[in-house]
Formats: sequence, C-alpha cells, structure tokens
Amino acid sequence: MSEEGAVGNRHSVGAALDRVRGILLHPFTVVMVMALAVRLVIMPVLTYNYDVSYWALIIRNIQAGNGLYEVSGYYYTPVWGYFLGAVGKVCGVLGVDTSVVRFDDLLVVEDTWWPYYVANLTGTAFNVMVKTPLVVCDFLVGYLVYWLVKDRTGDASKALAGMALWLFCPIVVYMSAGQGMFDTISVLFTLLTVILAYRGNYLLAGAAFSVAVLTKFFPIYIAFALIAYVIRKHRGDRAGMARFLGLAALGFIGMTLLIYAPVIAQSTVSESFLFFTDRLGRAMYSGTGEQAVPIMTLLTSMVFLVQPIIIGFVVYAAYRLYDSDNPDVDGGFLKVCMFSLALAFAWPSSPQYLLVLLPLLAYHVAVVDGGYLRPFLMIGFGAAFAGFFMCNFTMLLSFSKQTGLIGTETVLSIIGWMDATLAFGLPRMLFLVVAAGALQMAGIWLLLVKGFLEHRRGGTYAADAA
Amino acid sequence: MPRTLRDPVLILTLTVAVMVVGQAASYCPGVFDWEASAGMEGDELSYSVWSNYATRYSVAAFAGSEAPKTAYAFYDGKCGGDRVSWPGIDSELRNMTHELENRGCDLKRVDTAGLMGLIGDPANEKAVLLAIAGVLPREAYDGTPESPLLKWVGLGGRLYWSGGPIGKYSADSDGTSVVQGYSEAIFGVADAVYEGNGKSHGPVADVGEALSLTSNNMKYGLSEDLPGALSFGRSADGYGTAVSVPIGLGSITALSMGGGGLARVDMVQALAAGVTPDTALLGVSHGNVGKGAVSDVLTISAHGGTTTVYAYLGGQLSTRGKCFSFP
Repeated sequence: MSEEGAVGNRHSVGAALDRVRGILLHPFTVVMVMALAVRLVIMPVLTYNYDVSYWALIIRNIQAGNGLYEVSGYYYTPVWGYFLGAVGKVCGVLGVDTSVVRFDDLLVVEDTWWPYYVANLTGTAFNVMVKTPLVVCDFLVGYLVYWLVKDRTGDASKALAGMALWLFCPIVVYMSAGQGMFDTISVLFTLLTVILAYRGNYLLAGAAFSVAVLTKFFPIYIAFALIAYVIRKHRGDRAGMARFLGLAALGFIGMTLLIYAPVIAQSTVSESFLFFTDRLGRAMYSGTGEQAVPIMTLLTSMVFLVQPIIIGFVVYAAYRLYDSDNPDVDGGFLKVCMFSLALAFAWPSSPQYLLVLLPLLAYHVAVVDGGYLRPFLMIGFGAAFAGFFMCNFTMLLSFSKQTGLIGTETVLSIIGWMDATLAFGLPRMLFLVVAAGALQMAGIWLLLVKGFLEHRRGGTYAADAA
Repeated sequence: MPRTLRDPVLILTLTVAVMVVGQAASYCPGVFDWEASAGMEGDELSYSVWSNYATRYSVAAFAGSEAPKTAYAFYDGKCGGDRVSWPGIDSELRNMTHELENRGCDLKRVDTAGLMGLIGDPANEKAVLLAIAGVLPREAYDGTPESPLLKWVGLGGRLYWSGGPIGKYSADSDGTSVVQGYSEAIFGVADAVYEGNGKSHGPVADVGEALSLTSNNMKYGLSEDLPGALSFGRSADGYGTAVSVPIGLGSITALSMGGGGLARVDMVQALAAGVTPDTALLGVSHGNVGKGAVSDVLTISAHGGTTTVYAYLGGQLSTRGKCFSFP
C-alpha cells in the first residue's frame, strides 16, 4: 500500500472513531444509557411478588392450554395477557423457570394489615424477563416524547429534556423496573394515538387507541378530545371530517377485532371485563373480612360517584377545543389531552395509573411552560413513594431469598415495623402511603388549577407554537 | 405519509407484532406441550417427562390412592337460593372442569335429580363426587346418618368437599337451613369442622408436599383426630387444611377454603391423584424439564397393593398431570 493510501485509511478510521465517539457521547445516548443503567440495577433487586407471581399464574394458565380466560386468574382486557404469552414463550425457549414457590417462612407477610402481600416468589431471571417488555416500552415512550417535542419545536435540547423527564421520572422507573405493573404499555399506545392523530394518520391512530384502551381503560378519557380535534381541524370540510372520523373508527374496530378474535371464539368476552366489573361490584357492595378492604371499597365507590362530574369537565374541555378559534389546533389538542387525563385522576388513584398522564406533562414542561415542572415532580415523586410504601419491603423478598445478600429475617422485621400500629389502630405504612398520596394528589390538583387559571385568562395553549 | 412519521409507525408495527406473537402463543394449540410415561418393575419406577418449554416436573408414587377417570360435580342453580346458585360456583366449577381435564379426569355436572340418580344407583358405589358450594340438597342430606348421601359414602362413595362447613347447611328450592348436630351426624363427634379464620404457618405433610399443595387457610378444615384420618396439607390447632376421613367403606376428603386459585389447585391435585384416607407416599421426584425429555428411575418403598403414579408439571402452580396405575 502506498504511503498516501495508508494515510487515507488512517483518516477514514479516525473519522469513523470520531463518529462513534460522537454518537456515544451524544447527550441522547448518555440519557438513554443512564436510564438503562438505573433500570438494570433495579430490575433484579426490587419486585412486587403480589403482581409478578400473578403474571406467572397467567403464564401458567397459558402453558396449560387454557388461554387467558378459560380458567380464572386474568381479569384484565387481553393486551397485557398477550405480552405475557410472548414472555412465557421466550422464557420457555431460553430455559427460564416460570414457576412460583410458596415459602413457609414468608407466610407471616400474608397476615399483615395490607392484604396484598404474598409468600409466593418467582425467580430473579423470570422477574427480569417479565419486566423487559415494560422497560422497552419506557424507552419507546421516551423516544416518542423526544420525537413529539422535536417535531413541534425543532429544538433537540428541549426534546432531550422532555425525554429525560419521562425516563428518569421516579414513578416510571419504579413501576416498570420495580413493581412490574404494565401501565407503560398503555402509555405507549396512548402517545402513539396522539402523535398519529396529530400528524393526520387517523386509521393508525384509531388502531393504536384500541390497543391503549384495551390495555388499561384510562386512555378512554381522551376520546372526546380526539373527536373534537378531528372536527375542529377539518372545520368546513364535512366530507373530509366524516372520512377521517370513519378512518379512525375503522382502525379502532379493526384492531379491537384482531385483539378479541380468540376471546370471542372461546366465548369469554365477559371474563375479559372482570377487572372493571369487579371494581364496579366492589363500589356497590362490601362485606369481605379483610381489614383494609372497607377503605378500598370507600375509595372505589367515591371514584365511580365522581365520574359524571369528571366526564362533564372532560367533555367541556373537548368542546372548548372544538369551539376555539386559536390557530394552533395541534397545541390545543395536546393540552386538552393532558388535562383530560389529569381530570381522570382527580381522585386518589393508584400510583401506576398516573403514568398515562406523564408523557404529555413532560412535553408541556419542555415546550410550553416550565411552570408545569412542579406538578410533574410532585406527581412523579408522590406516586413513586406511595407505590413503594404500599408494596412495602416485600419488594426485597425475592432478591433476599434468591441471593442471600439481604437477610430474609431483616426484611421481615422491616415489613413488621411498617405494619406496626402507629395511631388509631392503623399501621405505619398506611400513614406513609397517605402522606405520599397527598403529594401525588396535590400535584394533580396544582396542574388542574393551573389549567383552570389559564383557561380563565383566555387559554394559552398556543404558547408552544413558538 | 410525511417522512417524519416513519418512526412512530415503525414502533406501532413492531409492538403490535409482538402482541400478535403473544396472542398466538396464548391460543394456538401445541405451543406449550408435554407428555409423560411411567413403568414399574419390582420396586423401581421408571418415568419419562417431556416438555417443549422450561418448567418444573414432579413424579409422585402413592399407595392407597384411586385416581378417577371421571368425577361428578354437584351444581343446582335452583337449590338453596343465592348460596348455591351464586355465579362464582358456576365459574369455579368451569375452572375445575378445565383443570381436571388437564390432569386426565373428566368432570361431569349433576343437579339435584342427577345427584339422587347417581347415589341411588349401585353401579356408582365407587364414584367420586365433588361438592364446592358449601351446601347439600335436602333430598340427599337432611342431617341424619340415614341421609342418602351419607349412606352412599358408607357403601364406598368418595366425596371431595370444600366451600363451607361440611354438612352444616342443607337446601331446597325454598332456601337454605342450618343442620343442628351435623358434625355428630357425619363424623360421630362434635367440632369436627374448624370454623375460625385461622391460618397455618406450618409445613405441608409429605403427601401434600408431593402434590405441591400450598393453601394455608384453615377455614372449614377437618379435625386430624377423626378415626383413620389422613391429614395431607398444613396443620394448626389439631385441624388440617386437607384431610381425608374414612366413612364406612367410602371417604370424605375436605379441603379448607380461601386463597382463591391456591385452594382450587390443591383440590384438583388431590382429586386427580385420587387421595383417600389410605394414601401413603412411596416416593417422589421433583426436577426441571426444558425443551426435551427427562428420564429417571425412582426406587419406591415396597407395599402389597396398587401403586398410583402421578406425574405433573409446574410445581406449586401445577398445570397438567397424568396418572398411571400399577397393580
């Protein structure tokens, strides 16, 4: 090789190395890697056995050939069950044990005040496997927040800030990597719905909305905003309006049929709504012997009672979007979606439900108004602490039993301390949950009050047009 | 399509594809499959368990067990008002039908008339009856030892029971009534049934451990001190979560209630393996199987009668099972 050729090669290798270094040190990569590192540490260490052993039970029913609903156990609509089916198959191929072991020395945790602790543990490898799709969804949502902010502003640093807010939000990290609850899947499809609608692909938006709602019901609250947005955006074009709404409905119905095909074939559709009907039933009746259940019954009853008021506000917000002459219809749509979801949780909700609100809130922090950061942090930290205090230190039992790095006796004694009566015959953990839940609720209400005041001032959602 | 929408569409496509793969895994037959075989030569039990996915397997050998191919479940929506026609019973029996089918046992439902026909037919003297509603129809059981159901058990019938204090309630279309002295009528002693809300923190007895029983709720468990009783679950205060008691030539096997799916799996395991008061564990082997067959030989304790071998997958969340009988 000539000297010139060698020099040229050295230059091209150097340029390639610079490119790789540029990619590795790019803030986008750094945020992604750090977010992944946090999750990789948490995934094997923290696990809420009550939920994760339940996911193992669902996989067990699938492995037995009974699908999702032939044998009782899975009470949600099918989407998460299908993801569990995929996890079960991958575990089978990789040789990961999906079984559950009930430890005699942990049975004491089932006698605590909070009735949602179990002595049933799954293996660490399974815990990591079942959380993997959730963590992947976290990252896809993070990327979509980045995409949305960049699409709206063209500003990469704002996009990065929005993505980082989501990826490092404590409740997001905790729910997917720790507790193992699947709300992040619903969040992903909700955000896809919003993005696809806002960019005019109504067919796919309808399809994504179906998956979102059939994972968890809460995205249904943006339905009014979606309809108002399509009508407002195509005001004056009646044929186009009807065609686009028709496309969205077609996407929704088509995807719903795809999801429900085997459930319909097995005649188990009613079983797929048991989570909802069970909650409704609990709101209307009580009478079980569990100590904590009367409080849950009271809260559930309250949730159903306030729904007409909440839906009234959600419909009003959608109407304001439809009625607005503000030229930034897209910005208005994103804001009304966010407030519709915030209104949906204007009651003391379970911490995981709030995930669906956070991507749009992160977007508004990054794009519209830094003042949204305060409610974002209050919700993010309040919900994370509320979630952790509910699950208590049972989160460490699986890791303790599998590795021995933390003594099981130590973990049990901390759980016992949390379960000890503090006042009014109620345990310490409940006071901590209420305190953290109050922070979470205050964040929601701060957001709603902020929205109300902006509305009183004449609406400012066009601020992000800049 | 605007070029910038490529990434969201790609994300949607890929995630829906994963969902559809999971849907296929959840519903397509053969995705999760297994097989088991066993043979006896002298005191040596040779077995083979094959599965196309990774899970736990167990092979347990019992003396004194009689695994049924068919069992009958009492369910009558017109009997006893809310208590018996409670929709949960229908759902739970459907669960048990599938669970038992996965273990090689066919569960057939009988209403009050069907039950009377079953227990009145001498051909069904050795039949297996499952009752989980917590109530018996008055025609079959009126609280006296002469009740047709108790006479059927005395002649060799096997009753598997959960869902309430056995014998305390009888019912007809007018409603449910409490039977006074039910414990004495059935077991000859008072307080044979535990009616508290206690839980056991103790270990599971060997037969139950071999069947991977897990429930620790004591409610409506039977006394372990009843003559000839086999307690094969957990124990507390002299009562057991799973107890099989001889009544004449037949038996009553009662499993305590509570724990939802745990109690159900315990019941189907006990019924599928045919636990009776005479059941004794001869040997057991637990292990892992994954994407292939596991074959081994288990040396079991010598005994004179029939050996029942029960092979199953899934450990404490057992999924499928198969029984083999060696005279």
